[in-house]
Amino acid sequence: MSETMAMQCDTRDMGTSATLVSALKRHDATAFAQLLAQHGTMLYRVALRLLGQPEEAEEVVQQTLVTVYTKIATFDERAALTTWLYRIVVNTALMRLRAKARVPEELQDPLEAQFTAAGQHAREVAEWALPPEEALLRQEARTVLQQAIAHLPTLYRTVYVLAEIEGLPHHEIGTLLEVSVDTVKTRLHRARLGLRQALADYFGERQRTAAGRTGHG
Amino acid sequence: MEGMLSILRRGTAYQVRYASSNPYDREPQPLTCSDERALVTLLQHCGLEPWSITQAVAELRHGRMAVLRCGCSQAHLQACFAVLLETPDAL
Repeated sequence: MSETMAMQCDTRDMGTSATLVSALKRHDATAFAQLLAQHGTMLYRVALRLLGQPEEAEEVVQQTLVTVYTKIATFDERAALTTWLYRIVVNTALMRLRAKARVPEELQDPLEAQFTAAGQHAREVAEWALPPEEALLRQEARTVLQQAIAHLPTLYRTVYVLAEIEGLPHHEIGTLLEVSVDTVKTRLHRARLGLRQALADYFGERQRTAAGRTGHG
Repeated sequence: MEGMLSILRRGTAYQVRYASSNPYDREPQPLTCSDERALVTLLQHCGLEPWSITQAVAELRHGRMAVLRCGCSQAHLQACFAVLLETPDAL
């Protein structure tokens, strides 16, 4: 007895999350294909942002599906299905990162020394010359930003990806990472400041270029 | 006992993960089939029907992950894989 889930999706009856969850709990033939169709892109996007490598991100998605299949009976539906999926994919990606790291990242926070106890930058940060929204539309700026995100410590990158890229509310991030909302806010603040500092050179260069053009005009 | 297979393409090879419907089963290591022929043979040994194998292969050729329900147990899958490794001529 075997049945493909990849192609035989009759999605008409699985439009709602509750219906999909019921089908997943029955290990319905089409439910996992539907899950992949509905949430696969999100799972891959989060994994890719956290891990930086497409192949690793695919494997995390694969592992996430395995976990969903195995643990779906324990999903009590108090949280939304997407929240549960976010938790699994983030935990799977973080476990993979921890397995690769020789030293736990919690012990080697490279941004810690750059902040005061009050959460302010310990030293002056260059002003950005151009409105970020304008500059980020450019491919070059996007690439720089992506690299800067990839270089954030995992603690901050995770919160930044969930808050700024996935748009999750702070309380939901706190729930799925099992930290307080204050901790989420602190990590997000530090991530933003870390990014700002990392991008200062880029935007500073643009400022100098713009000023040069004005001076010659 | 039934489970689910998820399959990823890795160049010319394929990574197969088995998920058990029993939450107390240990998660097995993924299996690697060296090429499409080996994958198809493995799936046939696991009792999957030809049409579902064809559809899974089509998904994989499009760069997508294939997800299949599988009637065999994790132990049976491992045994099939071991046989394939020992008898590559059977492919």
